[in-house]
Amino acid sequence: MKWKDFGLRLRALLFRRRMDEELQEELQFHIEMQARKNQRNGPDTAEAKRQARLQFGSVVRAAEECREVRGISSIEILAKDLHFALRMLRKSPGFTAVALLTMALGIGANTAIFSIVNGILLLPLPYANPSRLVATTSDYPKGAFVVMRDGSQSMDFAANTDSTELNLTGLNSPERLIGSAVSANWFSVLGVHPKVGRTFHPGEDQPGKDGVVILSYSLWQRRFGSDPNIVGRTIELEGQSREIVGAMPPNFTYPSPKIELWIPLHLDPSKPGDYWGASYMSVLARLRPRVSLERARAEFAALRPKVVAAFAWRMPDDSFKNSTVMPLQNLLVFDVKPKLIILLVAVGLLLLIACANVANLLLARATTRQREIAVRTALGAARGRIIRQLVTESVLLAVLGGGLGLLVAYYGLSVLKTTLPADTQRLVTVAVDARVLTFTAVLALLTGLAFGAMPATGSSRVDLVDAFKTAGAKGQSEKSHRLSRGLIIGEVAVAAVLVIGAGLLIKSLWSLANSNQGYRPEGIFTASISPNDSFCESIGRCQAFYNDLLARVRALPGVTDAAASDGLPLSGIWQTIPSDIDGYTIKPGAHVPMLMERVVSPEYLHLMSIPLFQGRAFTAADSAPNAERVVLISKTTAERFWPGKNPIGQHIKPRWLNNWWTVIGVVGDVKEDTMTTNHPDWIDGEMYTPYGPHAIAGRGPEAPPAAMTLLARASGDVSQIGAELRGLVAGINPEVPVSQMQTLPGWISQAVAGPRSTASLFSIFAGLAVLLGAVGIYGVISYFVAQRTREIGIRLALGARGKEVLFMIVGQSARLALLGVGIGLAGALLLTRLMGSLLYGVAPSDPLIYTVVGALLLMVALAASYVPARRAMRVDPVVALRHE
Amino acid sequence: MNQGSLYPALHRLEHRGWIKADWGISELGRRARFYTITASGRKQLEIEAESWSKLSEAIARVLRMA
Repeated sequence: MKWKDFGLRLRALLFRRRMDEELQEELQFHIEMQARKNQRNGPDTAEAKRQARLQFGSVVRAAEECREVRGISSIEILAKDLHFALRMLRKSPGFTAVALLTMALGIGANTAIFSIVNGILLLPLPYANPSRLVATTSDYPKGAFVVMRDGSQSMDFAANTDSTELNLTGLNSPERLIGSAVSANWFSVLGVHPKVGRTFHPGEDQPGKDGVVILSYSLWQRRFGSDPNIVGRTIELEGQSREIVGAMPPNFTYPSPKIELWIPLHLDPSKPGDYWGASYMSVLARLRPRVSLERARAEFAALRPKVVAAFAWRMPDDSFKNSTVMPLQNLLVFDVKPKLIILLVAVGLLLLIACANVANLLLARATTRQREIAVRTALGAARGRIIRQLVTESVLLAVLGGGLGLLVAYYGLSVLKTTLPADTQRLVTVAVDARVLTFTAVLALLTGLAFGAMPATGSSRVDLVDAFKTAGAKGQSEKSHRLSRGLIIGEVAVAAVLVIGAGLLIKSLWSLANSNQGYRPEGIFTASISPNDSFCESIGRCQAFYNDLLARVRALPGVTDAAASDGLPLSGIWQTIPSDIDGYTIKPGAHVPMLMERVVSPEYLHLMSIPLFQGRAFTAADSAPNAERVVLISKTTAERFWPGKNPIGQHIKPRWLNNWWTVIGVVGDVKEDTMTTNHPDWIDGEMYTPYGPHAIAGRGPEAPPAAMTLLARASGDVSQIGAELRGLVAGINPEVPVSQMQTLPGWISQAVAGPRSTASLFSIFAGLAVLLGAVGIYGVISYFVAQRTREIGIRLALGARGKEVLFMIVGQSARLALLGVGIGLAGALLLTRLMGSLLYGVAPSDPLIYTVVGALLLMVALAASYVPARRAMRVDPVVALRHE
Repeated sequence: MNQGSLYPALHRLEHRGWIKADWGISELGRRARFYTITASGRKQLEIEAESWSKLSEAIARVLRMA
C-alpha cells in the first residue's frame, strides 16, 4: 500500500503536467456526461451544461483537492515560493546586497576558521591507525627512551629530536639543513612509508650503523631534482658520509614543517654526557593491540622510577613526576587549541551580529510588506502558508549568502594560512573539504531559519482591518519595534565584547613586544655561521676562524661592533650543564643544579647592552689558550645560589669535569627561553663562558661549540651586510654555510608571530563586528525615521526646531547603544576571563580598554544614527503631512 | 454535497490502494477513466462494513432500549 502510494506520488512529481491534463479530462468528462444526462430531461444544451456545472461545484476546487491528495503540493509550493522569493530579492537590490554581504561575511569567516579547526583539531593524523598513537608529555634523553623502549609491554616506543641542524657540504654550495634524528623504528611506529627507497632498518640507530639518511620530498626536489635513482647515493652531512636510503612523500614533514631530512639517533651509552643529557627528545609510542590508554598510562607510571634510576647522574626522585602519555594528536595541537577555540568563539559572535542585522532588515521589510501580506490573507492564504513563504525567502537569502560565504572563506583561508605562524602544526594541509562544506551548508540553513523565523511569525499575524484601514501606512507593531530595538542592543553588546577582546590582545601584544628582554636588539644584524663539528676538533682552529671573521666583519663599512654567541635568545639553543656549585648543598631528593650556559665572544655583553652589576666583564684575555676558567652569572642566579653573599670569587663546575670555574661578575637577566621567562623551570640559572678552549659544548671535554651566531651592530642599512658576510665567510672557508640572516628585532617579532596572528585575526573580526553593528544601527534608525516621517512633520509644523528632532533621533540611538555597551562590558568581564592564557601584561578587566571601547562604540552608534537623524531634521512638514 | 467532491475521494482511495484506475473507452467511444476495486480494497471494504454493522447494531440496540 505504501509502495503504491509512493509510486503514485513519484509519478505525480515526474509527470505533473500529464497528470494535470488527465485530471482535467476526467473532471470535464464527468460534467459532459452530466450535461448529456440533464439534456435527456428537457432543457436545451446550454442550460443542461450550466446545470451540470452547478451540480458539480467548483472544478478548480475539486482539482486543487485532488492535487493535494497527490501530495506533490509541498514541492510545488516550494518551487513557487522560491520563484517568488527570487523575484522579491531582485526587486529590492539594496536590501539584497546588504543582506547577502552581511551573510557572506558572517558565514565566510566561520567557514574559514572552521576549516582551520577541522584541519588541525578534528581530522585524524595522516598516519596508520592514528588513534593508537600516543606521546609523552615530557621530553627525555636518549638513555631514558631506551629504558622505555626495552621495558614496555604495552607500547612500542619511538623517539625524535625536534630539530637537529646539519651542514650539507660537497655539493656546489654549503647549506645548513634542519633535520630530525629519529630512532630506527620511528617510521614504522608512525606507520608511514617512503616515496622511494626504504625507511630505517632496526639497529640503524647503533653507532657504526647510522651512516644513513632519508630525505624529505622538498629537499629531494630542491637539491636533487627529484632524481628517481637517488637511493644509494652518498652525501656529506656535518662532515660525515651518509647513504641516502629513501625519500618521503610530499605531505610528510613530521615533527615540523621545516624538517628536510631524517637521520638515525646515535645511541651510544659509552658517552654518558650525550646519552643522558645532550638533547632531550620527543618520545611517542603506538599502543599495542587491545591495550587501553589507561593501561598504557599505568605502565608508564610504573616505568618512571626505572627511568630516573638509570640516569648516569643522580636525578631528583620526583623527576618526570607529572609526565604521562596522551594521544599524539592532542599533544600536537596543545598550544594552538585555545587560540583556535577563542577565534571560533569570535567568529561565532560575528555571525550572531550578522544574523541580528539581517533579521532587522527583514523586520523592516516585513512591515512595508504588511499590505501585501494582508491582501494575501484576505484572498484566503493560511497563516502557516505565509510563514512558510517568508521563511523560504530568508533561507534562500542564507543559502545565497552561504554560497558567497564560501567564496569569502576560500580567499579568507589563504589569508589565514599566511597570518598564522608558519610552524603551526598541520597548517599546510588545511583545506576546504566535504566536512567544511557540510558545516557551511548547515550553518547557512540554521542562520536562515534563525533570522527568518522571528520576523516571519511576527509579520504573518496581520490584523486585516487595521492593515487596510491605514491604507498602506507604515504601522509597525510595537512588538516588532521592541524586537528590532532588542536586536540592536544585542548587536552593540556582542560587538563590545569582541572589540574588548581585540583590545586586550593588542595591548598584551604591545606589552610583550615592549617588555624588557634584558638586552637592546635595535640595529643588530645576525647570521648563523656553522662549520662542521669536526672542524673544531683541533683546538684553536675554530677560534682562529671566528677571530678572523669577527675582525673582518668589524672592518665592514657601517659596522660598529661584532660578537659571536652560541645561540640567540628565544632560539631554544643553549648548553644545559648539570653543575656542582661550591658550598651549595643540594637538598635531599632535589636534583643537581642545572645551569644554562651561553658561550660568547668577549664583546657579546657589551654589544647586546646587557648590564654588568658587579665584578668585571670578559676581556680578550679570557679567551686565550692559557686563560683561567672564568664565568659570568645572571643576577637571579647569584641571588638563588648565594643569597646575601658576594658571588664574586665563588666556584662552579660541570659535574663530569674536574676544573672549577671562578665567578668574575654578575650581569642582567635575559629572557632566553620565551619573551616572558629567562629559562624553563627545570633550569636553575644562567651563566656565560668566554668562547675559547675552556668553553663547554655538549657533554664531552672542554671545547668551544662549532656553530655560532654572529651578531653585528650596524648603523644604517643592515641588509647590505648579508651579501658581504657570505663573501667574507667563503673567503675564509668555502665549506662553511651562512644561514638565517636577519635582524634581531626581526627575529624577536617572529617569536611573537603566534600572539600577533591571534591579535590581528581577532581585530579583523572585531572590526567587522563594529562595521556590521554600525550598518545595523544605521538601517534601523533610518527605518524608524521613515516610519515617523508624519509624526516628525507634525512636530515641525507645531514649531519643533530641527535641532530638537535631531536630538530626539540621535538620543533614541544613544539610549540603545548605551544599554548595549553596558551589557557588552558586563559580558566582556565574564567572557574575557577565558582568554587569560593568551594575555600578557594586561588584566582581563583592564579599565582603560573598557572605557575606550565603551566610548568608541557609543561614538560609532551616534555617527551611524546621525545621517538618518539629519534626514529627519530636514523633513518638510507639508510634504510629510500630505504624504498619507 | 457537490458531485465534484467525489473526485478527491476517489483519488484518496486510489492512493490507499483500495481501488485502481485505468483509462479505457466508454460506451460512447470516448476516453474515460474506469475505477475498479482491488483485492485489498475488497478486504478493507469487509472490515469497514463489519465495523459499520457493529456500530449500527449498537445504535439500534440503544434505540430499542430507549
